Amino acid sequence: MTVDGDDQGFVAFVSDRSASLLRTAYLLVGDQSRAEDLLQTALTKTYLRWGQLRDPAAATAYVRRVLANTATSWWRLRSFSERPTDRLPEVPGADQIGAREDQLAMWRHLQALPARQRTVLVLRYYEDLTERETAAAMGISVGGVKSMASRGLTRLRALMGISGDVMVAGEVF
Amino acid sequence: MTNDVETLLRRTMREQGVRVDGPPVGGEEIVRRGQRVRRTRRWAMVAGVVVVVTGLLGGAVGLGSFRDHSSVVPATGAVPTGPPKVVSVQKDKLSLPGGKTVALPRSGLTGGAWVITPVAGGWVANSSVAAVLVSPAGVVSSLVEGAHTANLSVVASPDGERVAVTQAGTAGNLVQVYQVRTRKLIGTTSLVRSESEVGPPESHVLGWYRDSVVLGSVPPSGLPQVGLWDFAAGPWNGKVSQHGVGIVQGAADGDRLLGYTMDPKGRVCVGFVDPARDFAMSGQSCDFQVTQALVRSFRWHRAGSRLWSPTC
Repeated sequence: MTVDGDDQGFVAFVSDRSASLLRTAYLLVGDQSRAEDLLQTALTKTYLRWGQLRDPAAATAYVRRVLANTATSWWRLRSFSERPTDRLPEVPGADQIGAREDQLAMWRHLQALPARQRTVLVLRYYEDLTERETAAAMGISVGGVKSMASRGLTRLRALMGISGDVMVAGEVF
Repeated sequence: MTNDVETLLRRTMREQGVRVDGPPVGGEEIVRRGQRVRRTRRWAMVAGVVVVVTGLLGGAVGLGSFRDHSSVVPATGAVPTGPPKVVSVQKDKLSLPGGKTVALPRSGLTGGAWVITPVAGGWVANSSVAAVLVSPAGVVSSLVEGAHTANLSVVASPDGERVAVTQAGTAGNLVQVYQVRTRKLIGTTSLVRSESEVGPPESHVLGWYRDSVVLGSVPPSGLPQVGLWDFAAGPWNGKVSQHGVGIVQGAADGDRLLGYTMDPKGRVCVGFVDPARDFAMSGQSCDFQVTQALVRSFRWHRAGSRLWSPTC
């Protein structure tokens, strides 16, 4: 394979940003191998648009957008791709080092949210994007971001309450 | 409470995020994937152009054979005047050169538009679900009609004595070869879908070479492929060319065909292919985009009207 100047810039971008983007992908899909597939798909799409992006900030925003949209479309397709199994997949145990019951519960409930609600929460509370940036990344309105974030948080709050976890300010951390 | 949920959410995502190892893949690998995607997209674009060109050429050849008995005519030329000498179809009525009108079977009407292919001693008219033979006297006889017929297409041999018929099925395509004059089935092969990249999952008939049928295949991933099926020897063995030729169409002199391939730089190339030598290509040119092919003179026009004439 020949790597020209443009490709070298892209390779440098991937080297610089892929670890961070992989974490975002992982939070979106909740599984490392699927996150790697998701990120590779997003980066390949970014490579095809690299000639128009160039600016690393624009490229990062573009990758985020592809991640969000692709994760949502995968979630919609999962009923066609999932297969029944007679063995439950491994789940994090309650005794993992550094993991607390409430965080494990939160992680499980986050993964159970609809994809778009989960995506909004990941972009807002992990990537620390503004509502406007989140809206741009997902291709929706700012009002849509507010609505989905509110519904997602409400749902998490309800689920955490159902799970029996009682959170008291100042006691969680 | 709300803030506690948000704080717990942030903390949870941070701690989950740091568990992920990275980077997952090198940039070079992504570049390779991207280049493959670009090549595949270019192939798809070329395939679209070829379908259009083939349709135009097929129509032109059909018109020419009725007009002046020439086997091949250019795709462009003067519009004929005077009484129509060609067959035409309106809904289910086929008009023959002598003015006679015959009704095509209504069972084919559900298969969309009828397509007419000149063959020895008449025409084959096919929709996507049925094919019939029509004689110059207006006698219509069924050629293909049954449970397997879907997305039916017909490609006649150069002498018009045989036709290769592709039909789509749920498990793959079925290709059958018929002797036109007797309507006898003389070859059949089932192109079963496969997960293999070298298998024939979506194979169909591209054309003819001597007494064999040229099959094209679009695998689940990778580039299109071509292979040769000697139907007299039995079902197709699935062997495809190792020369990277993706699309074949048209006949050239010297017992060769016209083929399309892609060079290592991703450029589309056209040239002559020799099916007898595993579709080895010669006389190719890669520095232009194919927009039209004139089969008889073997010339291709580049967008912008530059003319290329390969030396034969």
